[in-house]
Amino acid sequence: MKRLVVILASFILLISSSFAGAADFFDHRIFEIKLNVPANVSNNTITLADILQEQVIIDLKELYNEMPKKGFDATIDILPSAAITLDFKKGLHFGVSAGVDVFANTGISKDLFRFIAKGNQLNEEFKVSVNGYADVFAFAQVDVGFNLKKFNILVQPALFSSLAHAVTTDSYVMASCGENNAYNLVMKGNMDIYSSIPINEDSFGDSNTMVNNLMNNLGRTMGFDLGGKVSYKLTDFLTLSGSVRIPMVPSHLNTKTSLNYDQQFSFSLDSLMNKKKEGSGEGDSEGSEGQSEETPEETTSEPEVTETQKTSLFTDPVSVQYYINRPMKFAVSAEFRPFSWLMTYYGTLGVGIKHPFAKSREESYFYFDYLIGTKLSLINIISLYLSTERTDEIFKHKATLALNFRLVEIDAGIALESENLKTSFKGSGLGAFVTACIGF
Amino acid sequence: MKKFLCIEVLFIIAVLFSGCGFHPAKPERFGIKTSDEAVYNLAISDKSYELGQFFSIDKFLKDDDNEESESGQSEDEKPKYEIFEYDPERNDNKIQQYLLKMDLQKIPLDLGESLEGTEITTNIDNMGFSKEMEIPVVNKTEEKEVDLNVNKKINAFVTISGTTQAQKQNIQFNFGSSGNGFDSISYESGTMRITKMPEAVGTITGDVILYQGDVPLKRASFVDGVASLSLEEVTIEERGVVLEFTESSGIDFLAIVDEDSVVKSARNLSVGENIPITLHQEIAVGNVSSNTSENSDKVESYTIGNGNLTVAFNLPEEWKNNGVTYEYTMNLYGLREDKILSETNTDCSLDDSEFSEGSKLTAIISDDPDVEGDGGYIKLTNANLDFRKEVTVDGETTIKSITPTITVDVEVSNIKSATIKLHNKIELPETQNSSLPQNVLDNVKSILWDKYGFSISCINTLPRGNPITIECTSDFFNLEEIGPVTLPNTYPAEDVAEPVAVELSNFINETTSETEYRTFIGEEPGQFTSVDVTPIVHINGYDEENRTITMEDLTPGQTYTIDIKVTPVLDWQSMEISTKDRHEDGKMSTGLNLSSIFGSLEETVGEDVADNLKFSRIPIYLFAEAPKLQNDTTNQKVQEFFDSVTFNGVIKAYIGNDDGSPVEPDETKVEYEYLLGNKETGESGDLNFTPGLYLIKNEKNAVTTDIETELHKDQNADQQYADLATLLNSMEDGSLCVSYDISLKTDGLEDDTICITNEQLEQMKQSGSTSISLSALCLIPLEFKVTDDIHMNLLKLIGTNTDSEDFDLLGRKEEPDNSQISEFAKAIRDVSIIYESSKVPFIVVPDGLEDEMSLCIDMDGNRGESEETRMDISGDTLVVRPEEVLKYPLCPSIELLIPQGKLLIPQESIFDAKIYIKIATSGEIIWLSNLKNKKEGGNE
Repeated sequence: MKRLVVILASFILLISSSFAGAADFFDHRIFEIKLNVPANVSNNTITLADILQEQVIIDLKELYNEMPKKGFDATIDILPSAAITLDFKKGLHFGVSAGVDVFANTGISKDLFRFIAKGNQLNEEFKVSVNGYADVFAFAQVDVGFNLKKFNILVQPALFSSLAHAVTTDSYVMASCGENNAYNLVMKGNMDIYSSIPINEDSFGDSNTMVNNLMNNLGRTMGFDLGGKVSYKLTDFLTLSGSVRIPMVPSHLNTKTSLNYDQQFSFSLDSLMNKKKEGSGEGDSEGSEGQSEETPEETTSEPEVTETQKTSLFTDPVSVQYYINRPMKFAVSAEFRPFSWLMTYYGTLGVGIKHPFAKSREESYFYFDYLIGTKLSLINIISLYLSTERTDEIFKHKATLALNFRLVEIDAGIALESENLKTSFKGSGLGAFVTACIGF
Repeated sequence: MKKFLCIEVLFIIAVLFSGCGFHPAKPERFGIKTSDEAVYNLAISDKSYELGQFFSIDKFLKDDDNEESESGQSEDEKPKYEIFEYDPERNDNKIQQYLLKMDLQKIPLDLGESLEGTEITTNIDNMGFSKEMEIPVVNKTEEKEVDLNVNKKINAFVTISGTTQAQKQNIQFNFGSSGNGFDSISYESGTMRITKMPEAVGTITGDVILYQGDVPLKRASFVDGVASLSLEEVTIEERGVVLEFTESSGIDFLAIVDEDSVVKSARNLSVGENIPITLHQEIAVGNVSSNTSENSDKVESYTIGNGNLTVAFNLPEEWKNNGVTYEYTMNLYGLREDKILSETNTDCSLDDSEFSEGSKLTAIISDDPDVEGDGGYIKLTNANLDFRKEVTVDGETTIKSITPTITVDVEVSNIKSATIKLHNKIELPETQNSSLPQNVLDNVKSILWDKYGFSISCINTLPRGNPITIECTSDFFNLEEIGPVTLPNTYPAEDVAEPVAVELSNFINETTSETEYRTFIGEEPGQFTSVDVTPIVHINGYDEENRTITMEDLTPGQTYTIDIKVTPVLDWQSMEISTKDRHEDGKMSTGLNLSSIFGSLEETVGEDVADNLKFSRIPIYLFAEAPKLQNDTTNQKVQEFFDSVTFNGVIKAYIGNDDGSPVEPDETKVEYEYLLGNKETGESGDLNFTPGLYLIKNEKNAVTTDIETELHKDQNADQQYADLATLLNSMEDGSLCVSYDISLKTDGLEDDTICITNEQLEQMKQSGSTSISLSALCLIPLEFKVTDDIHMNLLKLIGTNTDSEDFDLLGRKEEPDNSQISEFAKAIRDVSIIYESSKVPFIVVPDGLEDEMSLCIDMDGNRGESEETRMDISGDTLVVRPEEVLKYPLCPSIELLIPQGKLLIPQESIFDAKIYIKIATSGEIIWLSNLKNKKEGGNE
């Protein structure tokens, strides 16, 4: 048996080394134009397995029991980009790329699902918090790579600009039972929107103008960060690398607009029922008169249904200086190619800091990323990538198929995703990307 | 390529999902599985129902009382009854109780109040009268502008004549007669017209230019031989005026300024001739009134005591000491003699001048030679005058003329006499005759007065020449031709605005050690049944027929007041009150029975309530009351009288009709309960007074005196007591009636008259009672025997009308389509209705140990489809299934079960209920497709 394995491995090595030149031919383009459109949508609770069934049943109790402590969470991450690269042999590499990074997250506290699954107690205050934030960055990056002895060094200075940053503050729905059995329902939604241009209700009516204005203001809000990667080819089979992205100059946003929604209802079930009865008794005036004469005096004063609401959602924009950086990242990677082009194993471990150097410490937090994957390839013409990773706080289990004909390459991938590792295997979210490269 | 991509994506999905052991399928059906652990708690209602109206008995008793009053029967004719809430300290369960107090006989001793509060007081009060008269201010000031017409004269000066020359030529003004002239004239507006002389040959053409020196001022073209030079804002000086004709020459011309051109100012102006002054000014001095309303008093005529007329010729400030002199002679007509005034004799006296309505003074300055006097004129010599000035009024600037004025000023400080026509005549008092109150006539034999008569409070600010006198006679008050009394003048002090009233006591008689004033009441000679007063008021100068009053020595602008107020004085020392022949009999229906107590409850919840209830007890007490006096020798005689007097007769209670007749027509079968007298023999009984029982009331007007304890202290209490419960429980129809036949016995006394002094009356008031009375006090505790279980419809009790055919507790008018709701209802396992009641308007003492007051609920309204649930009244839980609630019509039976035993109704008749709902979900799956299909089905 041992002999058979050794023979097989030797055979594979022989074949692969024979075609190494051809594989390299397909893998490497001197000039390349690349379009990349990844999109990720995920949540931490509802899975594809739940939905892709003949009978879809949302079990309210199970929903609550299986939900993480922090409650329901959903994320969207879209990062379309375009790049032009010149990649000479021996590691010399020049490239420019530009793109937009849209990241949005929203969450609902678990109290809502507890209410649905467990009910409530009398005189218990019931509060459902809602949170969320969104970041939109535009960036332009230059890649310069070269070999220094056994090291390949890649420097990636990038100009980036935050187009908008929105974050909710103190947003919730609260219900409580007060005196005289009056229920008070308070709905509060507060969101601070930081942007380079003043935003008001009218801005959303004319989105073209708003986008144009944002683009015109890109220069004024520009920030700068520096990325870099150092690779060391330990053997022909193993390459180690470390990468980093360090914010240098933050992008700054000049105006803050607050979106305030505040609505309060006060009602009692008793008065609502009485009103309904009064309404239905209108047609029978004689009967109701007779009844009213006999009606004993009710000494309890009934609360009426009341409602208060602010008229304008948007406050007037105020001038602020809000500084924001793209996440700071550190990572180490390893690439193991035991059979040359035929099979590659790769892995990454990294940490990120969201909103580094933010004024408010609450805005900054650490997260970790990892990636373990393998690539099966046929002389790099047809390649299949299988990986599991956590990138930008989303767990992904991805499969990618790449077709490479040197002049044209198309990669398409799909991933099961979730913010939660457990549900990520069931497909609480979906990610997809398509990459198209043209070059020679 | 596309196909290839699709294959690729499918391949990847297949790889991924097969790895997860998951077999995707196309979703065809969506459902929500509810939690089988969820319980939703809702607070529905926290209400208090005041049910006191169902047990109140005071309403119908008060109504009866009112009806009697409205029927015109006097208070003395029928016995009265009053109802009070009864809340003595000894009331363990705080049961609702009432006290019915029936006055069977009452002899009031406080008759002084009757005197003061009746017709006598009103009539004597009406003897007062008041009148205010305002004398208007007579002063007048009339000012008139003098039209001098200086403007016209100056314009005449600015006349130029000469021959046209096509070059500048200095011109001279034709001032006419000597003495005329000016240095400069400034125009505000106007026109200078230049034409050829009538006799001149040719036509002037071209332009003419007016210069002042070398400065061109105005230019005009000749049109049809006339050039009009505007003089607007042009100053023409006597020297240096130059004219230039552009074309014509050698033609004689004449330049004249329009008469109406307005001169603004003139410097060094001299007018050789006198400028005449004329004036015709009328001053209405007869029409004086402070109020033009037709309803006000008018001054018909007046004679001035002290007055003056002054004339002033007022030169404008700008003209004074500026070359202006004047002289005038003014004729003044309208006084007794015509007067002539002048610039040196400017005023004349108006003393003793008489004026009446329409009178006027006329001041004339005339240039007519036939009129006596020289008229008037102004002379201007080297005068520097402004004729126009800017005046700003309310921020608006206008230009006004400056001109002299003549002012005629009439000032009157005293009026010797004035006759005023009154709009309304002064209501002088007339003869008054008022009957004495009936209870005084009935009870009082004589009154010994301390003081009696009437006092007068007067304010009189009329001049001393108008005295007011009052004469008065009255047999009742023993006033024989008193007067005439002159009312004093009450002028206000210098530092006080209002005069102070003066009290007159001339018409009051007072008992002294020498003189005693006593009035006997009755029909006999020397006795009185009424109060008579004949007043005569005389106001000097007042002509009642013509409604005029003539007053002397008046000050213009002052208001003169007469205000007379008359108040009766009826201070009595003692009264002799007769108790002879006091006898009362009659029948009285109280309307009290079970139905009257539960009437409104029966109307609401059904008639079987009263059927199963019986009174536990209705105690009634007789109560004879005499006023309480201090143990004093002065009161000895009165106290002896009270001690000797007893009520005697028969008082019995029975069930009767509203007119008091027994329900049982056969007199021999009527069940009587004797309160006074012997039931067996029918003989009358005696009842002594029970002094010291006074009904004390709290802030809610409820009687707090413990009647039963107080009355049982008396040894005769048993004789005065009866329990009417059996009587009232015995018959369904009819109500409690009382018949009485009683008299006041004064056995052993020589005289049946009692003499009450004012002092004794005050003692009686302090002790609480001022009358001799016989009352029946009936206690009505709301405490009943329950002879059989009572089912009370609670929904009706809290005001829900469950009788209508289409009644539905949820207020639905028709059967709803519950198909959609029933799908939701599957998700509900059960609904628990939890109620808590902290206050219930009943206290039940059941006969059986197991019986308790409870709530009986049957969701199907006792139709037998569901079982009745019996629950604790103080709080319990009712579990219902959704289909029971959704059923149409939902008309459950909710009854309050009062078991056989004893029922007590507490004072606080509040039904307090808190209701909560618990909804437990079932864990069932709700299929959305089912909902959708049913909705579509419903729409169809």
